Amino acid sequence: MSEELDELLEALSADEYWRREEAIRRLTSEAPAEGLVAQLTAALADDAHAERRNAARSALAALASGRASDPAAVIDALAELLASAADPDVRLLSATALGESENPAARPPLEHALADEDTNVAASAADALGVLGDTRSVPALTEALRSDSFWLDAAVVAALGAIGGADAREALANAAADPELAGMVAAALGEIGAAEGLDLLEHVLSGAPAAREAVLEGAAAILAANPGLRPPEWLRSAAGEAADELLARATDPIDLQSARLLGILGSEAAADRLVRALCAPGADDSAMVGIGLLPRSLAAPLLLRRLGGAHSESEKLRLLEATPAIGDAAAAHEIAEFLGDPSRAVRSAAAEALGRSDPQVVLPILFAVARDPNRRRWGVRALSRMPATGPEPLQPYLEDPDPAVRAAAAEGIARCGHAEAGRLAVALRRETDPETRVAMARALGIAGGSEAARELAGLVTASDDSLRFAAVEALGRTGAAEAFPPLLAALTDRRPELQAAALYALGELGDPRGSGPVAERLASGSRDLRRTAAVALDHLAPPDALDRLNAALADSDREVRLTAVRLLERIAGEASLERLDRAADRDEDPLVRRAACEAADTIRRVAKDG
Amino acid sequence: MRPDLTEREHRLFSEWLSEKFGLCFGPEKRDILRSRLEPVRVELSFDSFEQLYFHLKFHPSREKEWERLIPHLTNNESYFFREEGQLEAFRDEVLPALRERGRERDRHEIRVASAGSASGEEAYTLAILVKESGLFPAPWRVFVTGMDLDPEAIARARAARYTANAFRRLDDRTRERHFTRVEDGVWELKPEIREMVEFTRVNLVDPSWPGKMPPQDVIFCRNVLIYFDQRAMRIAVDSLYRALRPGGWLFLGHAESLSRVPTRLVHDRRPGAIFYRRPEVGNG
Repeated sequence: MSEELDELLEALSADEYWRREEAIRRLTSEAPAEGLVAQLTAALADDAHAERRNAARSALAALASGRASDPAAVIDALAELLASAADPDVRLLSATALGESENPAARPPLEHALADEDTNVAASAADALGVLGDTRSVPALTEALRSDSFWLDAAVVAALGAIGGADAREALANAAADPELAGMVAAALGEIGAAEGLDLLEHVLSGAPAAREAVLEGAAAILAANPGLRPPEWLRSAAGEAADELLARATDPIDLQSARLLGILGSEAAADRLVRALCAPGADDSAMVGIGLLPRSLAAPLLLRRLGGAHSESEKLRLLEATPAIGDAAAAHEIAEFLGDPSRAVRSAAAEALGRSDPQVVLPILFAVARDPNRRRWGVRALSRMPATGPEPLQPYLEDPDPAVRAAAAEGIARCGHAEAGRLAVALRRETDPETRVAMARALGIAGGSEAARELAGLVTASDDSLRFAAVEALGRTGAAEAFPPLLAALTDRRPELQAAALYALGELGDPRGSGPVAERLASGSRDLRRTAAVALDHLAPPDALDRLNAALADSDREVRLTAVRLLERIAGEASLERLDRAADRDEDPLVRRAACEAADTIRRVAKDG
Repeated sequence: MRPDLTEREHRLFSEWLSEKFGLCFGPEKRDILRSRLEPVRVELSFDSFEQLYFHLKFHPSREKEWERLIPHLTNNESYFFREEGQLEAFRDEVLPALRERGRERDRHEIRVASAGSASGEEAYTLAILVKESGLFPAPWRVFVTGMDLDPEAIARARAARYTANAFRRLDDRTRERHFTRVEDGVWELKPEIREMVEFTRVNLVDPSWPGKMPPQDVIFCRNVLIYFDQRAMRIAVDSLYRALRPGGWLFLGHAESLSRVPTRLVHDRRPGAIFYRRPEVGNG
């Protein structure tokens, strides 16, 4: 073996992660020395030195990756070994190397290897397909589920979980019919994270009650991936049957997964445990996440009880931030006391807690608080969060001596709708405090409508940069046709920040006249502008941007390419299939390849369903 | 109704937070990131996290706007005399060595820094230990610097007022010696310790900060690097190395190590303490 090879294998076997990383970087940045690939494939067969075999595997994976200079030759060499090496360990290592390469060209030989006579090799091929994450492997993996080997089935289920997508979920739902696989199916559905997986988990649990723990873990993962989702009743019942274990597992400090599971459990004991964890010194947000999953009627009283005895700023903050919408007057009064807390952060959190609560309960209390000089500012802030306040009670506060009160009043009036824009415009013209002028410009955006847009248009040339920026942002939110001309003009402002803000605002505005100017910026020399243009275009979804979007599939920025994939799926449909398939095969980023795969799958499914 | 943090918004924020502050919020922390961003989204009255992202990214005074977010990004809670094993090594080995070295080189000053000083508990703990050692009377000069990204935490550190949580590892006698009770449940640090410590705003992921301060004899950087991704950790460790005087000591959190980072710092251990040293000779 050459000295170079020895050095390479030694670096790849080093304990220090950064040494291994440096060796991989050198392999992919330079053309491999002549004969190196052959030496490495020979090293795969060296069964006397396991470390060197594994190091050779890592090296071959790096050389087969899209970042290397000639991956195709290495993929071919590995595919040959996978298909015909007599030693199953060599075939297994080849499969693993192909998966690690993350090169889409590795897919066909791996799919073929799912039928390898050696179950370990077939399972490694399944693992590797999971690493590649290509949805086009789902049919081959689904076919492989008909084997009579549990290990292979388990590897296939895990791979489907790693790949994700609707077809993988369907295959997993079918695999759940086998009770031995139910737990793994639940884990795979959790890894996929799609909200639809919750219904499938109910189905898994009903067919395999022994998989309850895995179903709970999978459900917790799905809820984590979909923050707006609430635990369904069947899930809380399932957690109830494991209540003792869930409570016992939640040690101090509580970890995120345990917190989620307690939130799903939703019992008084679980709620109590979470609230205690929330207030523990040095606590992170895990308990907050769990509290967010509790039944609201349970969380609020416990949090408030604890709030009553809280002394430290951080404890009060956490409790107030965790408090859900309040529905009773006594609780609202209690929170209103914190509007006068010595800590600004606590006062702000109390205002927000009241602002998201039941207006019928909270409004009378807030009107009273707004007359208290110690709590007025934050009382008006809380009022500003509630459209139910109406503009008239807030009007006097537009002239309050405190600029923060005037700003809060403006926001509150804005939430009453377009009709209030005139009132706000008058207040803004009269306002002298710079920060409050910015807040009032923002409020005009919230109010929306033509009058707001006309007023904001006049501010786009203001001398105060913050005010100009706020005006541009707000124009995007008005929804008014009158917002388009000043935003178009701002696209050529001398300040790049204003240009970017105008670009994004045009997307938010949704005026079709913006499509052309926004799409043009997909060719900007600035990555930030290209990315902003891509996001803005995503909001506009113009049907005539096909050429620009096709070109954007080759952008150096991943976010631009991802957005282009999304938009092509939405606006171009079947016409974009060829481009999407190419991106699925060739994009250097696995996330983009996966998105392109899924987009192409969706288009084909829709076309098939007619 | 509170909006979700979409996948795209999560990607955009993760990348930006990593670039700007070295902080790591992977997919498994999406709901935590959402809860950190929510107060700022609400404060600025945005309907979505996407609006918040573009605001923070492009605002003409964006560094000031970031100050709204920074206090929410990390867990700033600490307490006095945290992780005693390391503090014992500092008191019993490092301080005497610094005194000896100072005498040999006729340099009668020591510089100690607390990186990620939060509300100041660690920086003041180090100052108390130096003072109580009695090893550095006049004309020795002692400089203790607390460094943090969060301006609100720095303001709290300068105020030097603490409640019971901060004293959970501190005996009453030591507290009585160095603190004055100013109101029910609140203690203020006495001037003789406060005056030893200065606080300054530093972003550990900005590689220019070591050049803005004199070389340090000792740096404590505990439970900070755990929040960083790999790239940020490399930058921060390299900066900490450059900020140390040759022969200087670096203390990390007991759950942290530099095994995944290329560095010339040399690892050493004592009972209850692991630390690193910048080599004495040359540039290391």
